[in-house]
Amino acid sequence: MVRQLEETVVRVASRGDRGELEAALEGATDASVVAVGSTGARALEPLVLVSRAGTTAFFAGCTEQRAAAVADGLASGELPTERADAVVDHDPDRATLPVPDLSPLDVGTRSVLGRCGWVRPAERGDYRTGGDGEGGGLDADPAAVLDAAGGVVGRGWGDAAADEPLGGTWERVAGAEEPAVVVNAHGSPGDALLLESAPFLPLEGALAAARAVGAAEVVVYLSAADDLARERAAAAASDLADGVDVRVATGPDEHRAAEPTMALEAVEGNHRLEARLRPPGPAEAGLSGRPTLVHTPRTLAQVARALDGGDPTRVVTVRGDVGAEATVELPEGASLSALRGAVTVEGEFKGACVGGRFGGVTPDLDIAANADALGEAGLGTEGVVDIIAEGRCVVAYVGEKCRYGSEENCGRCVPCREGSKQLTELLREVYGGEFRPGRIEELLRVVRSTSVCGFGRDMTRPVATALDHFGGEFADHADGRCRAGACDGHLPGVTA
Amino acid sequence: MSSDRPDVPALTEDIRPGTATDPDVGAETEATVTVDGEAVTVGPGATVLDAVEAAGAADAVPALCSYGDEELVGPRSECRTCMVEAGDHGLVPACSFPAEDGLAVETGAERAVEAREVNLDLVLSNHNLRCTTCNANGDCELQ
Repeated sequence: MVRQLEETVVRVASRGDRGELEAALEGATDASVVAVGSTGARALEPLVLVSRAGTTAFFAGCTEQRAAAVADGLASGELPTERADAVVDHDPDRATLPVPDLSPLDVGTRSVLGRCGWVRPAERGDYRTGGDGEGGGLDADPAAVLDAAGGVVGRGWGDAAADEPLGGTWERVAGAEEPAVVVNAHGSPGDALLLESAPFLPLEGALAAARAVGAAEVVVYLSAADDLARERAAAAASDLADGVDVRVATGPDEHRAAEPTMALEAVEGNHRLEARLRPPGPAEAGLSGRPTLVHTPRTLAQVARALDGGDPTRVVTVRGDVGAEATVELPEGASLSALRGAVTVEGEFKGACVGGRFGGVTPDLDIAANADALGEAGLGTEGVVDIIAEGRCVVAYVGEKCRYGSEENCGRCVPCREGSKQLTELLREVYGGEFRPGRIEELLRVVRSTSVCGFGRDMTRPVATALDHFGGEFADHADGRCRAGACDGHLPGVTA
Repeated sequence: MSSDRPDVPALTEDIRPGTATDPDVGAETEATVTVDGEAVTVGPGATVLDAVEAAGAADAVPALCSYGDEELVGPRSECRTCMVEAGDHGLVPACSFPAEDGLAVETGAERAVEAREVNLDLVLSNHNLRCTTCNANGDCELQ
C-alpha cells in the first residue's frame, strides 16, 4: 500500500498520463510520487495531493511550474499548505480520498468512488487497506452475497436487471448449469471511471457474483474506444481472479452496443449487432445460450458496498452546458439538485436531460436520486445528467436526439427503425409550421411499448418529456418563434 | 436454398445472415391459454400466436413477418404487427412469446389494436408499393 505515516506521498490524480508532472515533482523531492486515477472531478485535474502524517494538501489544475513550486516547498521540509487549494486532516492510513472543501469533490458522498484518485488503480495492495470495509466481497460466502444482492437495484440501461432488484435473477441463475457473468461497462462515463480509477471494486462485486451463482467465467465488456479502462480492468483482473476465468472483451464504440443482449452478441464475436428477442432473457439464455448475469460496474460496485453494509448510492456524471464534466456520487435519498453544485453552468440554468443520451427532459432537478423517484418523474436512470442552459432550444435538442436514434438503432424491429424516422419527420414538420401532438404521442406510445429492446423504449423519452414540460415551445416553433432564439434561420417567416 | 445439382455450389450455405442469436421462444410444456375468452390447449414449443391461431382469432393479428417456418426463419419478430395484450406481461409480440399455461390473451385490447395498426403503417411506410410488377402480387399479406 501507499504508506504515509512518516514519509511524504505525492499523488498525481488525472485521467491521462501526467509523466511530466510526476517528473517535475520527483526531480525536486525525495517523496514518493505515485500516479493515481481520476477523481471524477475533471475541473480540478491534474490534481496533485501531497500527504504527510495525516494531512493532505490539494493543488488543483496543477501546472509544471506549480508542481515545481510544491516540490521546492517540500524540499524545505514543510508541507506547502499555504499555497494549497484545500488542506484536510485525516487518519494517516486512510484507504479512500479524504474529501476536501473543493467542488465537485465535496458534492454528495464518496463511497464507491472513495478510492478514485487516491489509490494506484492496478495495485491490489492499495485496495482493501485500513479500516474501510475490510474483508467484504472477496471472502463473503455465497448465501451472504445472494442476500446482499437481493436489495441492490441494477444501474444503467446496459444492465440486464436495470431498475430491478438483483435477487430474483441471481437465485434463478444460481441453480442453473454453467452460468456466466458479464460486466457491461460499455458506454457509461461512471462505469469507465470505476474501471479506470478503482477497478478492484466492481471486479470484487463480479467475483462475488460469480461465486454466488457458481459461474467459472467472468467477461468484462467495454467499448473498443475505452483503452484506459480496458487496460486497467485487464491488469486488475489478472491480479484478482482465483478459480474464476476473467477476460476482457470489446464491442464497437456505438451507443447501441451497450444494450445487454447486443453486448452478449458482441462478446460472442458477432460484428453486426442486433438486439435479441426475450423472454427468455440473458438470465435463462445468455452468453452462448448459458444463463448469464449482465451487470454494469456501477451495479457490481453497489453489491460490493452492500456486502460491507453500506447504504446504496448512485454515481452520476454531470455534463452538457457546463464548464467541465464531473462524476460524483449521491446517496439514494438525496435530491439531484445537489448536482448543480458540482459544475459551473454556462449561462442560466433552463433544465436538464436526466438519464443519458435518451434521458428525460425536466425543468426541475429536485428529484430524489433513486430508480423509483426517477421513474415516476418519467426520467432515465442511466447516471448521466446533461445540463441545458437558457440559450439552448429544447425542440432542437430533443429533435437531435430523435434523429440520432433513427440513425443509430440496430435496425431489427419496425417500431424503432421506422418509428424513429417518422418521429424525426414529425418534429421536422414543426419547423415547417405543422405541429401534430396527437400523432407524435401515438407514435411515442407504440415505439415505447413494442420495440424489441431498451433502445427503442428509451429513444422516445426525450421527446415525450419535452412535450410534457416544454410543450409550449413546440407550438411556438410551429408559429415561427423560438424562445431560445437558437432556431431562427430554420423557422418560417423568420430570417436569420 | 441449396441446389440439388452437384455441379452447382450451394450459394447460401456459408453466408451468415448476421442476425442475432435468439433464444428458443416457445413454451417448454403443453399449455392452456385463453384467447379472447376462449380456452385453447397448445403443445410444447408453442407461441402465443399458435394459440391465437388455434382459437381462430388470427384474422385480427397480421403477424406479417411470421412465416410459421421455425426451422428456416424462426420468429424474427421484426414487424411487431402481432402485438397482443397478455395479462401481467402487458403488450407482447404473439409470434415470439411463449404460450404459458394460464395466460389470458386479449387481441382486441385498445393499445394492442393501436400497436398493430401503427406498426403496420410503419411497415408500409418503407414499402415501395409497386404491386403490379411484384412477384407477390395476388399472394401478398399487405394486399
